[in-house]
Amino acid sequence: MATEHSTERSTERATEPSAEHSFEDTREQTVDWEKVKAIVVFMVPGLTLFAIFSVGPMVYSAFGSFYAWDAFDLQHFVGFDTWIETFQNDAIINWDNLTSLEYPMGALPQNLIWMVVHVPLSTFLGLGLALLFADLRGRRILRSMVFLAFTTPTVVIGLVLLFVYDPQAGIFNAFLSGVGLEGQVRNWLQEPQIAIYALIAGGVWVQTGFSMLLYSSALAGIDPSLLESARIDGAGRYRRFRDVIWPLVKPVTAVVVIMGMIWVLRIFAIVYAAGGPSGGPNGVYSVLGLEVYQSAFSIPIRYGEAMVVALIELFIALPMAWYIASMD
Amino acid sequence: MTDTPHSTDESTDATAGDSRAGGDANTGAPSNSDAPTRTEGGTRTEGGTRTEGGTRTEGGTRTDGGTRVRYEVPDSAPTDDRTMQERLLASIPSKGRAARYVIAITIALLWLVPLIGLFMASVRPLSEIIQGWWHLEGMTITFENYEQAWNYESGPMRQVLFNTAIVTIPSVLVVTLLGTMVAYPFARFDFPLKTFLFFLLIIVMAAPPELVAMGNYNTLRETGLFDTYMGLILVHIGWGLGWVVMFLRNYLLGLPEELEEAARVDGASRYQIFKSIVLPYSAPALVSVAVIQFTWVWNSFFFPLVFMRSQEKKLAPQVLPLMKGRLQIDWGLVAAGSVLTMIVPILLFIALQRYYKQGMVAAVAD
Repeated sequence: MATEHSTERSTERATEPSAEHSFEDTREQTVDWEKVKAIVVFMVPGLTLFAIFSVGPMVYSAFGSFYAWDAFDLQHFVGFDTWIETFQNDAIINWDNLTSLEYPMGALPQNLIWMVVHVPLSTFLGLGLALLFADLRGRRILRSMVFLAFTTPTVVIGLVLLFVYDPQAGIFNAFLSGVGLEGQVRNWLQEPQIAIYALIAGGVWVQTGFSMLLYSSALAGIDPSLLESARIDGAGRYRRFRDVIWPLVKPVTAVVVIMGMIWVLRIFAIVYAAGGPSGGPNGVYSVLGLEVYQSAFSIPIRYGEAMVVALIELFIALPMAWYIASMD
Repeated sequence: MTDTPHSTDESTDATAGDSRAGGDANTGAPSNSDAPTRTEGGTRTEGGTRTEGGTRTEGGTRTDGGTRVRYEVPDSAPTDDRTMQERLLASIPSKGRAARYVIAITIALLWLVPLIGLFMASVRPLSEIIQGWWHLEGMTITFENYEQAWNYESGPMRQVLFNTAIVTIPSVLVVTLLGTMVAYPFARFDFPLKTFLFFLLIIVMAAPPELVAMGNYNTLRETGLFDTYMGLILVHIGWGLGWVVMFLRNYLLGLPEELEEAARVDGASRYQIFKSIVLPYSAPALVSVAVIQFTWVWNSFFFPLVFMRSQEKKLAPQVLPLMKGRLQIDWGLVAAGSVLTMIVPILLFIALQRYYKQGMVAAVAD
């Protein structure tokens, strides 16, 4: 296993020097050696660390997912066995519950459900708040108030949600009994069928600040005279939004949606803090990140499975990476 | 051969031009009409010595200028050309506007309620928190929770906050320096495998941190760096470089090359150019990177959880879930610990808000 890893690393490291050689071959007439040296000096320290601690481990996981593991040690090649086992693991996908739409459905469907509910909500709320605050005095303070949760550590967010939904001390239940819904008072994070939505609401609370920030800056780029002339031409509030504002902020929406999806895909600390390493009772709001941690670092250690689950996350993220790249 | 400007990027730039055309049109238009600066030039006044505003009148001819749209958070209201009297009359909010103020302030306050609750819980005794922190009558303010958290037996805050700083500060400084050093040639020169590197960086930006945990765990264990500050710092640096390099590359692509070329003609070496032109001119971007990376590393939970195991080396975010205890959650303790942990990034955010927001917007909008 050690050899496997170190070869990985050395190929990564080797890209830099070999790159310079091919450079030399293609332009043999006037090689600016001073410049080549400068490129190497500038890039090698950073890229070495990047290769060892980011790219190397990714390639390692990609290979490792096809091998059997004894705790943290690489054993023999097993092909797709671990992949197949992973998709039969109830913690990842619980096929029975999935067909009857009952939680726990497994981390993969739950993570996707989180995405499907969370991303549109936080996007629309962010756009709504950006429009609401756009021309008010003190908008910077208002925006900072909404954005504050986004700068808070995610562990704290999880604990705050635990506190908000607490049956005794939580303000959410107090609010429910305040408006005459005493029957609804419960420990929201312990109810298998609804706990995940309570957490998603918390996620939306955090991320709305971020999408609001992006939309605000896009709105700031709109020429006020454009809106003014639309108003003079008799366009109502809705028409002005649909025909003037929306086409101009549409490109930002793609960014907001992608960042939201990546954020949801990386959710870990919120769920860990609110529901422990198992992700709530029976893992009813477990997510993929939590399953990686569980498989890799809690007994029994299933290193291969952890790698498979992490790679599933990567596959979900790759289209987004591709989109980001195509924007450049 | 000297600095053929990023020809490998030409193809990607062309496609980007199409997809971003809408965005260019709207942000470009207003800034062109009132000043010859690009959108970013207007608000980035902190780079006081920058003369680009004047020299950039030919902005339209730069092909890459189009892709470097920065959506800025406005710092001031749009100027209008009405007289003072008209403006005063108009500044009295109409009924509809007053209603909007009320709604906006209510929503913003509602957004803060959970955090206000956390703060209230941190300064009140448990018996009162259980009754509901929003009951203000007979409120006792106590700092006992903070004292308890400060001396919490399985990870005292005085220790873990210090540990967090030990890990955060070097990770931020090193990643900023190394990131700029990689980003500079990446933005300015051509070299083989440039596109390959670009895609690697993009993939790391989108990938989940869990993906690198297993490989790094074994690497650190073999090198004896497991459960050391150095190991965690290195993991943070390697992971952070992905977005830092992309961010700074995009920023440097938007900076004019003329100054560097002039310095070249005057015989400055690449290192002198980097030190006396590139670094000072990208100062605003470096501050943005440092602030965002600081928040990220300080707040990060997953990496410390995996790589820091000894009791006395734990970081603050790791200890907070432990404070929940087994049976009755001691909300006061949890809240005090949380407030102590989050106060650092929040103060930093308040102090350097502008850089934080600009960075956030630029990091993803570019």
